[in-house]
Amino acid sequence: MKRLLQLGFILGLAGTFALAWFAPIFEYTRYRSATSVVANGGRVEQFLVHLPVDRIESTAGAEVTRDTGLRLSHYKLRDAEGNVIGLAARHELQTGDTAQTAWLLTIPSRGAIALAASGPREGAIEAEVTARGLIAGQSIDQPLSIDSSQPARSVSATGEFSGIDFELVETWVVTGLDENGGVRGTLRLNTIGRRST
Amino acid sequence: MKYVLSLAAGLILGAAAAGAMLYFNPLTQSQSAPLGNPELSLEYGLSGTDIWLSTHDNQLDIPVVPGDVSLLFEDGIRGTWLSAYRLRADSRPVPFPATRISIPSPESELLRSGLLVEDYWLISEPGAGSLFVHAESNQWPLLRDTLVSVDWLGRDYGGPRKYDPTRGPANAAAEVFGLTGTYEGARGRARERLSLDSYDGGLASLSGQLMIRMAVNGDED
Repeated sequence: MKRLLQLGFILGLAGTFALAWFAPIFEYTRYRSATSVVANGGRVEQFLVHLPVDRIESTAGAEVTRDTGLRLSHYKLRDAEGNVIGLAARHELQTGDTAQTAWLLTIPSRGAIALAASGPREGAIEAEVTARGLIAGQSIDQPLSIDSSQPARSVSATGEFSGIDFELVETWVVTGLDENGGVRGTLRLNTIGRRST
Repeated sequence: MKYVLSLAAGLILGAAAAGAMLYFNPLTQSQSAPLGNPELSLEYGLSGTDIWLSTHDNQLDIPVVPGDVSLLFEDGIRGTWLSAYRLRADSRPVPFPATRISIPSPESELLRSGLLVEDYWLISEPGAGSLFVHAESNQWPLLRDTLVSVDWLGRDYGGPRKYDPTRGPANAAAEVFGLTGTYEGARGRARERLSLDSYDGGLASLSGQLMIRMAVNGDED
């Protein structure tokens, strides 16, 4: 009986340690990456943001924009098949006549990419859409497609993205404006990744 | 029957002993020293006006701000925490708007490394530029003192405590990359210090300090 008590003690001790070592505490659903190879090398992958459903916002965000002049946006990020795979943040600020845009794309099962772009100062996408004659609350049959003027380039990447240089182009496909003037439609984030040399 | 009871008693005692060893395991208590002479010391709290956006899958002891914000319940992002702040800097008159995305790491285990979290910060200085900070933090000491000790074991939290969770990815420090504006091309190191005054089932009294030092002559440590 004493031997059984000792055996049980050892099994309990070893089993708990094994559980602490091997049991996965965190796991993320990994969806298939829909990438394609381009002719001059590199891989193309498109991420989608459906607006307004994927926008993560707070009314306090408007106060931050008013107080600091920065435009901050947070989104859920989808793959080409529409699965939510990550989160994205976009900071846009103005320095003189230049617009500076910083992107952070994070995909828990894969890693993260930080990108930066700078270019001529342009109006916010809502202002551009309004300039094209669309008004708040209006929907259109023929979507407007607006590309970012400057592609963003990666500065740092982690996980399976490390060692790859990325270029990102924003394409706003606008199908209308909501009652508050916010964009309805799809934000397409087209990335091209090439191995760092 | 007595043999089965004897074996079961041994199993329970063994598991309890292992649990105690894991609780006091020094390998998972990694604490980094605060960064000396930081150029930027950015402070925030989890209550008040510092935090203006906070969302997760509603399984964390962290406030959701605002209450009606979209939750992160989808399988691909479950367990992650998105938050946005006005970071206060003593040396600057205007707060730094910042986004933080925290992702618990699949490499977490309680024998050697602790509860690892990948923290990604996007920090912008109005009129200047943006920084990206990548930190690997061990949040086990904080979780042990709150969730395990107070919520599960019914012990008192005690007085205010400080935690220095940053453990990587660069020599016990976070990596800093300048993205845009005056920070473009800059590199540096950062460490975070957390302070928790009290704990009553939520982390609303948690405050943090992110200390950033940019590289000088290649000396980044």
